[in-house]
Amino acid sequence: MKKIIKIPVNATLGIATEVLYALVILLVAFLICLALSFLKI
Amino acid sequence: MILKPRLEDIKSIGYYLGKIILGLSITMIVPVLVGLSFGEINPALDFIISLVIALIFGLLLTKLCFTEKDLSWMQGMIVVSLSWLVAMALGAIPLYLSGHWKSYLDACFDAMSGFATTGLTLIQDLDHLSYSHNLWRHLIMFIGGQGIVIIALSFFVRGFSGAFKMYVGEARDERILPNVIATSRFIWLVSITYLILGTLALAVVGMLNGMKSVSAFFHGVCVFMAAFDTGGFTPQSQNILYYHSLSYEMITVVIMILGAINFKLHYHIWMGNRREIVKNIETVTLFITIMITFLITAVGLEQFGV
Repeated sequence: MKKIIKIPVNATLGIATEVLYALVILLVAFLICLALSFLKI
Repeated sequence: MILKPRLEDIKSIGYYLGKIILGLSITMIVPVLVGLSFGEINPALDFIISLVIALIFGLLLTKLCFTEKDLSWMQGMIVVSLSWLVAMALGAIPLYLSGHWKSYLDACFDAMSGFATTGLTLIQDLDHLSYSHNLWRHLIMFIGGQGIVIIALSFFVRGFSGAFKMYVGEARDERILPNVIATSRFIWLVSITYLILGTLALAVVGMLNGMKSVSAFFHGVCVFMAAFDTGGFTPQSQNILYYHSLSYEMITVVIMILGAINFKLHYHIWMGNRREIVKNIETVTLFITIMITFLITAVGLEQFGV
């Protein structure tokens, strides 16, 4: 069968970038929590 | 306007629907193997019965309705609509046979909830459900999340034009690679790569929290499938609270965010265009939306004293 898809060369770095993006979201959410607890809203 | 179907229309619709059913039946091999490896003979038999029914139905349709013609737009839309209904009816058979659903209609509800990644369930006594049935609940969520048609396109359909019409019919518009079959395969490549990585991460955290390795791995697979497609099923009735683990919850959140990213964006980032993650309107909007809704939710919970 003709091979019509190749595994991308930069997949590892791509995955790392995407996971980093998700972790940044988590970090900002954590900082919001921290700020809320300081402000005692 | 109601269009009168001609014999050729019915044949084309039946042929491609048969292909999709064959694709779906292949996926039932996974719970059969899981059932056999865990020594669950009766649950494995439930899946063998369902697999045989699906195979017969799929083969009959492809043989009786064999056609060389490609699909028209109207036929493509009908095939996709019917494929979701048929997938629900066939996917519900093993669930109903398990005896954990009061009626076949309840099992159909769960199957459609899974395929549509809705996450509502009518199951009774989830905590004592067999491994294979539990995996199937999550697998249908994973299949439905990527698209039922995507499976058939990846393995069974050869005509590019008809394939494209079914692809669009399933409300997908990403044209990642020059043809739709390569695009489908890329979607599976991304999903399976993340399935392996996410399952490993969840399994390791599960084991560190005291779960046995097999159980940790099984829960990892199930939770990954539900999280990546933002479905909501979990293997236990207590949902994610069952694990009592902040790290487990954090990994699940990361998986949910990764699952929310468009496959076209995955493609750009995986191909080396990593700046796209900060430039793309989708990721920027997702970030802002999450932060605003998170802030509102956090303030609300704070007000309730959580």
